Amino acid sequence: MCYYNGVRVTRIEYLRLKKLEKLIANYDFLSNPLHVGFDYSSHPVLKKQEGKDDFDLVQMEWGFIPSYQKTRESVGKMRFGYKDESGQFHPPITTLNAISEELLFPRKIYRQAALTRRCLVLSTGFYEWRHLFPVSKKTGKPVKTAVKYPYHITVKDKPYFFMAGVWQPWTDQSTGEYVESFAIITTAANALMEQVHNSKKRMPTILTEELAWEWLLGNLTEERITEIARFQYPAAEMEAYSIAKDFREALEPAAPFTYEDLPALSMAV
Amino acid sequence: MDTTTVTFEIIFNDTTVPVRELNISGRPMFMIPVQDGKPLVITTATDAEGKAFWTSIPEGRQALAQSIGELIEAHFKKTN
Repeated sequence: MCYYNGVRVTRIEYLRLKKLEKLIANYDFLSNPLHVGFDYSSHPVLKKQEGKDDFDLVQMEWGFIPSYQKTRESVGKMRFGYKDESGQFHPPITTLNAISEELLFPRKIYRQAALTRRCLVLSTGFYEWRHLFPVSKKTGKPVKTAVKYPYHITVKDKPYFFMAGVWQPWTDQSTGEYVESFAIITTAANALMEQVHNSKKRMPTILTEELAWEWLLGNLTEERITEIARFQYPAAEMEAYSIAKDFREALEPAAPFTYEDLPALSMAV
Repeated sequence: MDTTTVTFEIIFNDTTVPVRELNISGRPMFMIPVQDGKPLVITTATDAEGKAFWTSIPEGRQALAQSIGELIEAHFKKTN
């Protein structure tokens, strides 16, 4: 018999709890209430165990690092843009999201990952901005610069759900740092997301549990990979509500917030 | 697109506390932020007599784990 936290437990239970300790120690994302793509932080991801029909919950860096990047410095330049020696600015390349329709195009950086390294990104909700162009009282015409309202989007009755992703192992060739990074797959917006993310009309590929396991563990043809990547979660099974514009700094970023001048979303989805 | 893992709230010592639930290695774990440092992570375990109890992971905050665990149980009883 052993003791854990002062309570007598069996040896098997003790070993289980010790294993959990080790797992928890690696999960610094647990203390992060909000995962913001553009800070390229760690995020919980389900990854297939090599050669097995099982998976591990691991943390990966959000922002797919292509294999042609050799060092952290070059990754930073890719993500944030840079000026070269002649003063010419090279704009940033964002790899947070991978477009489902182009995933398997030849020479796409996500192609090999989509074929062999698919993953599931664990989420309980995500944020998008709705763009509105209200009529100006001065000119009587719609304003030229959009007024933006953030929304929190969830899946009804699901405390957490899965987004399709692809991941990539990467080693910094100057320091030896090893990192696993990922991109979230996006698909065409459904009727709800067309209203919320109305500037781009895209949404993450949210999968049903059945499709999620197929995506993660299945031996899939290229056609099936594209088919699942393009899956559009039904609008009627999702919910969206407005939140405060300073949600990124809020203790509870997903708290609902009502704007008097914000037209309601059409629920006839 | 940003994502969050916040799930539900409990009232502890007259304060609303967010609780995040995660399934790690097949076991439900609950993470509760605390003011003075590392978040409290708790789960249920089985004692030598086969009775379930709440425990902190890692060890060291058993009393707090038990109190908060009971509030989490009450939350699930209320919502289920």
